[in-house]
Amino acid sequence: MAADKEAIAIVLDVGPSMSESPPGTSTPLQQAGTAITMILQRKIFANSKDEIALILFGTPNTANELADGEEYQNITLARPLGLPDFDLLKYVQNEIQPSNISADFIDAMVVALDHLVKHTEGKKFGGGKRLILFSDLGGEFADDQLDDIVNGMKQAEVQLNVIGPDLDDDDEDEDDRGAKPAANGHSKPKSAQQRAGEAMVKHLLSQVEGESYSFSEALPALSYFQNRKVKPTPWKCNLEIGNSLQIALAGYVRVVEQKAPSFKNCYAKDIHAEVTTSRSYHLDDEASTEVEKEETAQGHRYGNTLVPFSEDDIANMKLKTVKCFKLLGFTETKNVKRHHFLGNNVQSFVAEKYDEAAGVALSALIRALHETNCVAIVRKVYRANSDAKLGVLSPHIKAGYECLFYNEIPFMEDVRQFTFGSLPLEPGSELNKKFSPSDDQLRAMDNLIDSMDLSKTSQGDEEEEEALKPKLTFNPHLQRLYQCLQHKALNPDDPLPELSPIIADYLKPPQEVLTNCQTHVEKLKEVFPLKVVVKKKEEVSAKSMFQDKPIGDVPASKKPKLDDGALGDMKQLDKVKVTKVGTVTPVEDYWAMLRRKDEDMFEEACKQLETVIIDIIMGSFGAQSYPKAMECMKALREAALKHLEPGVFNKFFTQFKKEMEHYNKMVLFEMAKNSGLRLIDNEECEESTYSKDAVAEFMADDVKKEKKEEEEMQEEDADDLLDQL
Amino acid sequence: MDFTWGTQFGDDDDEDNEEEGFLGQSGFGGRDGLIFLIDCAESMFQKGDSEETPFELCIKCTKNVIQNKIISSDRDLLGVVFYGTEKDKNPGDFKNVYVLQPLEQPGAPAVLQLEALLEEGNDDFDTNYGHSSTYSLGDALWTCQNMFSHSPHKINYKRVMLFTNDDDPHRNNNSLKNQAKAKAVDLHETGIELELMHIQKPAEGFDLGKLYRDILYFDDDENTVLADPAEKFEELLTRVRSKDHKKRATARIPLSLGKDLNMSVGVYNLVRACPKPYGVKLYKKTNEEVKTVTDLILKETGEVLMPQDIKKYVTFGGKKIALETEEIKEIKHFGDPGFTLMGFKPRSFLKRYYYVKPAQFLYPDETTVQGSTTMFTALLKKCLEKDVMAICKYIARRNTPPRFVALLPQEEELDDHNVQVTPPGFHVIPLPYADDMRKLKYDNMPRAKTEQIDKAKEIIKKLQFTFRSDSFENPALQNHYRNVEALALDRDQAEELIDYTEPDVQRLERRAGALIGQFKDLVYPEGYQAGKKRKAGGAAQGPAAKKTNEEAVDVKKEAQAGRLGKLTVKVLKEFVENLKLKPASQRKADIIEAINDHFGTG
Repeated sequence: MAADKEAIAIVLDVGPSMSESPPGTSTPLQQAGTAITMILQRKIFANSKDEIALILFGTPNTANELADGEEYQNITLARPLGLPDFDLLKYVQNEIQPSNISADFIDAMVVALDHLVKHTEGKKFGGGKRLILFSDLGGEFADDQLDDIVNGMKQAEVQLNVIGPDLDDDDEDEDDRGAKPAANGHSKPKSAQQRAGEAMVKHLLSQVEGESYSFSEALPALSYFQNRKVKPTPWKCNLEIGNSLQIALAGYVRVVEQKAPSFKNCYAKDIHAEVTTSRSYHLDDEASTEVEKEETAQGHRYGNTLVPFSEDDIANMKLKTVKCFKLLGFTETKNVKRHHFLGNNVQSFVAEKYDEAAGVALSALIRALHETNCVAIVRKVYRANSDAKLGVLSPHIKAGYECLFYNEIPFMEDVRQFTFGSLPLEPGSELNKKFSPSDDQLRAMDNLIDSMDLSKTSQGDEEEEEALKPKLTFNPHLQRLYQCLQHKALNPDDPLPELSPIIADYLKPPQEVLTNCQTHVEKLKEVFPLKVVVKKKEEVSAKSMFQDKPIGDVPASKKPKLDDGALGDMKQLDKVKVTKVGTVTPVEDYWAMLRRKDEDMFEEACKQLETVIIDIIMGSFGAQSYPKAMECMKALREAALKHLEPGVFNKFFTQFKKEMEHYNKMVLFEMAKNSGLRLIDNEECEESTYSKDAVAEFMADDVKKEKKEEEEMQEEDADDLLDQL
Repeated sequence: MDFTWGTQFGDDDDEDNEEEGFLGQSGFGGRDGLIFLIDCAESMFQKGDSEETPFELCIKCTKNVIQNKIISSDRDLLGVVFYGTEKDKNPGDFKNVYVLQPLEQPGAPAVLQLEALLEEGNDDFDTNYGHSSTYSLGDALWTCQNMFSHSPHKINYKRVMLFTNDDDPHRNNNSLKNQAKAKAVDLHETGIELELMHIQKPAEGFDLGKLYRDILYFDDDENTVLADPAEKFEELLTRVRSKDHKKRATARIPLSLGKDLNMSVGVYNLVRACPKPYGVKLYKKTNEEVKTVTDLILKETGEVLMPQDIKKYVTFGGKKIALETEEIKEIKHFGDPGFTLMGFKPRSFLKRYYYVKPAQFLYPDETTVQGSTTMFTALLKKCLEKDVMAICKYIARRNTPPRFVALLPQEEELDDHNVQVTPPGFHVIPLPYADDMRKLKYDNMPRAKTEQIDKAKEIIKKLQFTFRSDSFENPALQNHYRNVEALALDRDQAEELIDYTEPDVQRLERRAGALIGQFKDLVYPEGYQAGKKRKAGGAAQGPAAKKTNEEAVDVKKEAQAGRLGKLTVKVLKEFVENLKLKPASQRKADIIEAINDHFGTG
């Protein structure tokens, strides 16, 4: 909203002390440049309407509206108040030069203030005015205008931020805002001039209730700028308790994920060409016949039934609701699980503005909840006819304010009751005992936890401080995205820039923690044997990837057992090892198994192929798969001959015949006969126990007679065969 | 690392794409298959002491299970098979086996067919299907087996539910008995579970020993006393409308405690808002599903752009900045998926407003890295003991930007029956970034006095209950299910819905009405009305706003008088919505035009 825009004057010191730094570290000017770049990036990428002016002091030249003779020298208005753009960004990045002239920062602030006031007159800047001073306060200054500037700022309602050396301020801390992380230990000692400047600035800040940040904090400070900007719109509703008590509340979003800007499509060859989307509707027929939108209707699935919904249906179906915020009851805090929170934000509820009675009522409720360790369960309807939600209100009490946090909580349908195995957390646990950690292991873990305490990392000589505080931790993706977009905006054809080290640093544990835990990590490696399981490649062999029928059809007990010891050797072999005959390409699988050099798979392969043959026959839709079964049997026969094991085939084939008789599927036996399948006789292979005549007799079609006689036997045989499978 | 961590899902997408596609069309994993095998011998049609015949009871159960399944897991395959019928209809040409409904995704016809059966009565059944006592149970089981093996779908879990009241169907025929037994073994070995739903004949028990002990598969030495059939039937007759979720990890990724110190964990979603199922577009004439194709078109030439012709852009600082799709992915890429330990903090550091998205759950994954379970257990035990949480950097998928998360240790929780309520492991609580937090300015407000606080405490005490999510169905979702069902089954009215999120005001008043009254007296000045200031402010907007409060704006009259322009957009919009008019846009002029069109005025 344009009405909320802010006018910001950035006042940057380019004087000599800004360019002094210990070797190998960046100068304050460079740090300030980075910080300003980030501010500008954020403004630009947040599509902010805030206007920014840039004032440099310590410049060799003078160019400002107040310059007059000796007054206000070496101060340059580099950029008058306006929307920040890439040119300004470019200027900050490339054209700010350090100088050896020192200028008065008080003077510069007066210039900036004057500029701000003049250029915001008559315009709407609902977000207010702000002056940000970037300086290490190393230059001389005259304090005769101090009162003027304090009054001026107060009058014009300009807020002041100073980004410079660490000011040991007394941390008034109205929120639970933690003290700033300290400078990273390589700041140069402060000069006497700086100390004087600091005293002055502190005085100034306290006068105008401004805030200061160190350079090292500049980034967290940005969040402050950005977030301050969001002017919250409250959701106003009365909390209803029963039908007689109502408390007028206003809910503000406290936490919500800041999403990356969404991208739109454009034509690669000409990004400015106009591109539109067209939506068309097609039937699922061969021609994908297109139909008009008017010919389509909304529908829902009911199982495999498609149910059309008329406009009336849709309107009538909708559950009517009215906007509300109603108490269902109170419950102990522990009854609402922390890990059950749902929804996309957290809201903070306070009494409606200016309504002190509501304030008292809410305060009583908050205190009472807090003291009884309870929370409130509520029904919330955002506006008429939107879906009702279930929420929890938890009390939050701070020195400066009290509020209720609202979190959405799940309905019955939202909770998934999955059961997991017990873990041996207690020494005597019987369940999963083999995974029990030993005392040694527990001790090592204990030490690791102690060595990686983030709750009080001491940095430099500063007091102990929580590391990785969410409010001081930036989303590296957004920062990276802005960095890349900025680079692309200025250099469209360049590849993406490297990840900025500032961002990369976020993603590592603090150095101190890393150092502390090193020995404990080594110890853990020693006491906890971890072994990466080599994925059994055959699981993703052609067979299992393409098969339409699961191997589950083969009973578990009959699945080939792999020798675990063999696995280690297998990983050197780049070729996929086939260890199973599947139903998709059984013949190929079978031969592949037989070809294996590392293991004799003949017996296993034959057994599996037999199983598959039965599966194919039993599972065949009509006679569809019978030919496939024939191919398998041929393969079985061929291999049996090759391996001089005719018995394997003969045994199977005799049982096959009996089975087919039993199940009245003699067509199959006929089919086998016609495709040249017959028992292996002893002329074909010496090992065979069948004579040529015996085979001929077996193959004869005369089965009816045998059937009756052997009914009992066959049944047993059938069971045998099935048992085998 | 020389192996790939198995991530089972698309790993180049960012946002929280849920693991299951809507309507399960994504095709991951298999389905469950269930066949109802129903005895249709004559005795099943004889009323005993009860109101309904055993057959009717079976059909009711079947119908109910189908209706529940359609909502809970509509990808599952269901079939209904009769045996002991006179007629036969099955692919294997077995006698006395009638496949009423083949194994497929059920829909409205399946439900309606069963309802018709219930209405028709015995005579129709005799004509249409008939009864026979010469059936073979083995054939019936074989039919079921064939139905499973012929299914074109991958079926994970196969089950046959056998409904009968005859404990000794083949009393005089050993061969049939043996056949049935052999087939039962066969079923068991091909992974088909057979479940007996037996109905006791009046004054007779159901003697398993006669046959069924050899048909059913019992776990080793489990005793073979059957559960009370009544309970099982009751369970089948309960309507539950809730989507079923298969337990599976959204990813199996490393949890790294240090350099080269990686265990493997499975990531699960234990709580997610269950949305209303998406609708589909239908072709009005045939009710068939219509595919929607969205093309990107170059306006100047009308050319349809292919993915390689497309770049992505954003506009910033008045400038279009274009990136390749690949570059956008690269910007999101911060490393391989996994959890990287940053350190530990006391649990109390997890503030209640540290919330950006729903939590996940971690459980060790021994299948990827052996030893994970032990290490995980040690970490969990120590975190519980020390009351700390682990802070990790979490990259969920390859091109998902990192988020810092708190791993909250969770002990296993059992209920009174030793059934697990909460599994042991870590809850993954995503932490907000500075970018996600909004700083609010709180106004100074008066604080309550002890007396007021104490009164509030009394109210809290009176209105306390034990909250459980199970007790609250989502009214919008339940309403949707009921309506779709009613329309699909051609009912006049949807089944009644009770909205449990609507507080029982009478009860609240009965319990705490008096206290609430006293509390009001303590905190509010006399005559105070909550939110009145807000309304007063609203009224200040002018006469138009007042009209809305009076509600009785006669839009028709106004239209006839040509005064529509004087009404507020809000009033007009409301009116248009009530009449279901379709203005060309939400602009005032268009809305007025639509109303004028409607009344023929203007």
